[in-house]
Amino acid sequence: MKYNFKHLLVLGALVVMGAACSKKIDEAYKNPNYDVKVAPETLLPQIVSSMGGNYGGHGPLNDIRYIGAYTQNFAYSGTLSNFDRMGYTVGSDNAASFWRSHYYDIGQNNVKMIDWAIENKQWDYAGVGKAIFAWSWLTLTDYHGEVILKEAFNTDQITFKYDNQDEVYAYSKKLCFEALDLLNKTGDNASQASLAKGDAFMYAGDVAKWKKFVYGVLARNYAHLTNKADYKPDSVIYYSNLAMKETGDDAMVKFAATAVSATNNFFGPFRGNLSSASVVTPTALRQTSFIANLMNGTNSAFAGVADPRAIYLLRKNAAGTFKGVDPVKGQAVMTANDRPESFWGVAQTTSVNNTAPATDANCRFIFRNASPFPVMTATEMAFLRAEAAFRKGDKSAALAAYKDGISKHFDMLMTYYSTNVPTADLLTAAKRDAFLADTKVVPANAADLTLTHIMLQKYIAMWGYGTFETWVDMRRYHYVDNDPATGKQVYRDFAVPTGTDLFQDNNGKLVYRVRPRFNSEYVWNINELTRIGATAIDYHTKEMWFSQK
Amino acid sequence: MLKGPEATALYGSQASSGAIVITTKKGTSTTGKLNVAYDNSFRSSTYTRYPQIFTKYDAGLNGVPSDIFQYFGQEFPAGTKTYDNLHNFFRSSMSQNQNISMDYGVKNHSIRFSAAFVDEKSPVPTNHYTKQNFRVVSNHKFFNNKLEISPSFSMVTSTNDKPLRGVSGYLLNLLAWPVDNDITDWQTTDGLKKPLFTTNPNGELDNPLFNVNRNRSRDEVTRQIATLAVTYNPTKWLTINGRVGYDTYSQQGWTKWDSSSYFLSRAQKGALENYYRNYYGYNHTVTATAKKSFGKINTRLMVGNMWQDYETQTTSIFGNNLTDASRTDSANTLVATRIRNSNMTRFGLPNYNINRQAAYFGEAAVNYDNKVFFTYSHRFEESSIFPTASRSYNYPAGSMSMIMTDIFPALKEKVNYWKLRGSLASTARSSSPYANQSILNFNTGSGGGYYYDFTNANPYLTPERQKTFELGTEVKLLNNRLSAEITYYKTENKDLIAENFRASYATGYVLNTLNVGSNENTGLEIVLDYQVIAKKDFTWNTRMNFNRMRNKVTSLPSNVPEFYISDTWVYANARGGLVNGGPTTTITSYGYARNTAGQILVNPTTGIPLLENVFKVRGDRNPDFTIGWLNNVTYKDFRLSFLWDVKVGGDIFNATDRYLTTIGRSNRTAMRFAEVLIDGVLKDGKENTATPTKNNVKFIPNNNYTYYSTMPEEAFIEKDINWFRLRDISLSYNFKKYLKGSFAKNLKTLSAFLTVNDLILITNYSGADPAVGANSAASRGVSGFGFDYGNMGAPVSFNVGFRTSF
Repeated sequence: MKYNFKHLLVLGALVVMGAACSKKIDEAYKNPNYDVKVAPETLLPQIVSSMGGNYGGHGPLNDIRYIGAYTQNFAYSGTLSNFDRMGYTVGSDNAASFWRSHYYDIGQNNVKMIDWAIENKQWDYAGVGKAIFAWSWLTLTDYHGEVILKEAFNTDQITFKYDNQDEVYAYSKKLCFEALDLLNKTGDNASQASLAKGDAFMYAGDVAKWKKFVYGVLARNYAHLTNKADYKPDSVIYYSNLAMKETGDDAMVKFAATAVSATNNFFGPFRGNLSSASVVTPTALRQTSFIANLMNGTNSAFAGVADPRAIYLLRKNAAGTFKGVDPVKGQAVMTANDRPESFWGVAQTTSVNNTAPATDANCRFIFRNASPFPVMTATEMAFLRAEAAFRKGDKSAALAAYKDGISKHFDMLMTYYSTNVPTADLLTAAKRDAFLADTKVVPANAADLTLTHIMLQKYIAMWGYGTFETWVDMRRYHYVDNDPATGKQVYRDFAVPTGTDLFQDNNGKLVYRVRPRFNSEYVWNINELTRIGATAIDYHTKEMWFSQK
Repeated sequence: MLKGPEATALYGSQASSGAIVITTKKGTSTTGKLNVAYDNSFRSSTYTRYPQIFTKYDAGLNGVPSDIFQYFGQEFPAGTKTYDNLHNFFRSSMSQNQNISMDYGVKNHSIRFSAAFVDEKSPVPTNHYTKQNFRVVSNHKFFNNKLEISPSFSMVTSTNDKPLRGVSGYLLNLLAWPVDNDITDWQTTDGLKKPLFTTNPNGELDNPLFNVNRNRSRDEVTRQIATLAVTYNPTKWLTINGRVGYDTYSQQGWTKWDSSSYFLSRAQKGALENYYRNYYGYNHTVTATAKKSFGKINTRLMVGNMWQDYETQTTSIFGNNLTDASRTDSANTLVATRIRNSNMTRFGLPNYNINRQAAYFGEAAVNYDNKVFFTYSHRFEESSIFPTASRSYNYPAGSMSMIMTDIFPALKEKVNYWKLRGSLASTARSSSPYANQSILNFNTGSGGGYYYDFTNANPYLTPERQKTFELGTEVKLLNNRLSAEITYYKTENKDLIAENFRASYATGYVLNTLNVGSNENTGLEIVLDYQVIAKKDFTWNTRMNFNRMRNKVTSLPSNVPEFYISDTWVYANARGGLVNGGPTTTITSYGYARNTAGQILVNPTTGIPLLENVFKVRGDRNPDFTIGWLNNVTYKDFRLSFLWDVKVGGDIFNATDRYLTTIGRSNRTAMRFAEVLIDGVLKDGKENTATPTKNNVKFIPNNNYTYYSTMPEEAFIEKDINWFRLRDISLSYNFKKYLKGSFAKNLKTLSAFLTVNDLILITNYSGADPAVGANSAASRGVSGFGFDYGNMGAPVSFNVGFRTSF
């Protein structure tokens, strides 16, 4: 017996030792050098900044530099830009920054923010996370067409299947309702004070405004489907009414603008991202003749109207007028005094000058270091309402919304972008009302309102920042669709590149989508791209689901 | 040497390809006398094999002189004073190595003290390594030898002064240095960098001597090791073994770049990186072995437990703007420029690397009459590198062998000994610590906070698996004078962990770590040992070791067309790239553009070949076979031994030659005035038809230096490189016949030797030495052998020394 007891003792000691070892092993597992889990409030700031342009310069602002040429918000200062020509740069990530923003910068950070917020019962953070995903999924598919949806964020996979656009639309809508459920949940660890910690650079913790943001995403979702048989204008009106109503509701990504470059607006001279002068990376941008003519009274839709907002958005030339650069042609063909200054206020009279000035003292609008970047605005929502009411046949409601849209754009400019505008040119309520009273802009009778009015004033109101949405609009109208009521082009006087001005690989067609990011997909997921036809030389001209019947 | 189940059961995954067990000397009973042994070795090393450089032309391009490090300018006028900088740079170096040991013991107790001193200088100026090693071990037996205890303690200190090497080091600049400039004249009277072309010192390559003298790095290590071995035999059939080891070292080092170095910008004003590393290692192994025989059946059962706990703490600080060029402490750098490793930034703590592992294992062995042997072992491991779900894993191994000559004694008429053996073993290998935890970085943008780093560090990572199958036979013939050992093996590696490879961003990351690859190696090893002459005063033993290995990539990440080993990508566009189904030793590189018939395409205007800037398999580094041939001859008190090393086949990317070609220093650029007509076809639209236009465009390279500077990597992959090398030859003499009489009453042994290393090299390789690698053999995965970039190969060394004991 004694013998056995000794053995039992040894056995017991071994078991205890084994358990102690397991504990010591477990203690050594976790990476002690970096954080692998953090509070949701510390993840939100970078996610929010990726809705504009983050520390690494990724987000819509980055891509607007390229696709702003498709909508003729911008034109390259030199000639023959790939993007002015509605083409792209082969083998480059140019114009596909948002792919990275969605999958990487927002991506896993947002997935984990939502998971950890739910774990902590921080319903507001989880709701905000879903709201941002609802927005980014919709934006992504509107931009690239077919994208990776169902298999996204699977970390155990290396090739990924693409899904159709309608599936992404449905998923974004689903996320909106999940976001609303969470944002409606109060108590537990959700509070304005807590949300404000991570949300300082968007809504400062105001859940009501985040809900408006979600309704705005829903309004867009319905508004994009004007070409579909089951287009639902009432849903657009319903959700846009719940979305941003006042300028104070606008979703603005703000910048701390400290001495650290990464905290400044991507378009400001400090970060200097508007200087690259090559046809493959044509980011040395100027205003186009199209936008300049819309605001200087040259466009036939608003002939003779000098828009008082021009000084906020556009740059004058040495002659003191607003003129723009023709896409593909560059500024050199213009007489020296007609050439607009760069967006950083640098004169172009002697030669092309794309340098970034030391300060932003002569920069305005979204081109200052500290300027906020609008993601979704009350003015956009009003125009969504105007178009939906118009299509529904309710022209008086359309006219009221149309006026509201212009008015809210004035408000936005007055609220956020007065810095560095000459005092005499500052907008006032009186100037706004005078503009709204001009029948060349706002018809006296609702019956005289046209789609051209709505879409062109929307184009102005979204110029420079809402380029992704403007591109959706223009593709819905196939750039050059006629308004059946007037028999004239909806986007009056908008001229698309033709002949050799059109990119050589387009096979004569206009651009409809941006290819998936080269260094993500064309290099590492090529089999799937081949399957969906994205390796075709003119894949970027393949029409979008939303723009088709 | 342990192989198969014996190795993996005891030593686990580290021994997946076998284990070499080194038993250090213990104290022995000297019956109360003090025994002293001493030996030394003095070595002189000299480089005799250099890359060939062509130095007929001065700096410039297309025959037009200019101040650059490219030599496509004009021929040096007759009488120009030139310098043999390559040879002037290196030195003949002296090294020494001295060992002393003392033994003392009485009946059951003994003690041994040993010390070693190493002082090594390499032929590269300023490179200097020193090491001091002290060790004391004692051995105590109690209870009629039932219990044996051996504690030991050693202390090692070493210092290493080294220049920056390789790509950013001295050799490439040495090859590029103008021959009409004397490199030994590298500093001004004020001790500053002497300008060559430009007044901005940071804008100009560093003189190699300036480089080794002013861009320096140094390591200092102090290491303590304590071990305790206990053997207890409670009964005749049971043995309990315990081994405990503590190992700790502290290492500190720095790398300093001079303020006028080419590697820095003017604004940096010198840079200094300091690091401090502490290592703590503890391990113990306890085994219990029982042996019992049942008639002719002999059995053995072993069970054991192993615990390993290794921790490294590293702190590093990088800064620039040095206040004093001679100081090497980080306080010498400007505060605002200092960059620390992550944990220093966060908590003021070092970065940790902790790896703990527990293992339980058992081995059962049975043999019948010492004729047929079976062994089975199983090992259970638990590793801190994996999360709970995949932390515990286990693997078995088994082997069988038969002594045919004992089973069938009749065979003994023909062979003295014949054995057959076979084994199957599997092991598991882990990744580096923390490779399965995605980390969060600081957001420098508005609002701060965190965001995920690029790498998808997969939490579902599991250990890599290796399976080895081995078959072998041993035969002894001619009265045991000839023995042959033949082994065939096949190793399959599965679930290989690929770290940081790219995939679609749809993972939510940019880089990925997954269990994705697999490969297999098959090989044949033949060892022949022959006692050619076995007379009393004259013996000659020869031993030949033949090795042939084939390897294959059996799977790769499905989205990755070519998976390359980043360590091998050292210069231009050639690297150790793997493709599915190919060998693991391929060289992928850019090459010539070709038509569908495989003819080189030529630019119709210039006559220069067109390039295909795509990584394709264009070489294989794996040799057909290698042979090591060792001979030992003794004649009376003389002993001569020499080792030949033979390699047949295998390609080498001669990156050094490509570098030399791009700068006009390769012999390939010697005939630069001779008209060149490339054997190829013009790319004129007809290249892929049945009648391509044969190239007829001639050019003179002197006027088109881009012919040389853009020559593709493919042209520098030297095929089927062989070598026949005398690794070492050694002659020693034993003075035993002089140790009689009063002269050497206390001298027990005395011998002297002379050894020469790397004396003879016969090869078809055009570079300095084909036995080169882009990185050390310690690199993960297939190593960088076969990539020659800025390597000197081995110097010829002469060693003399004597050995004595008293």
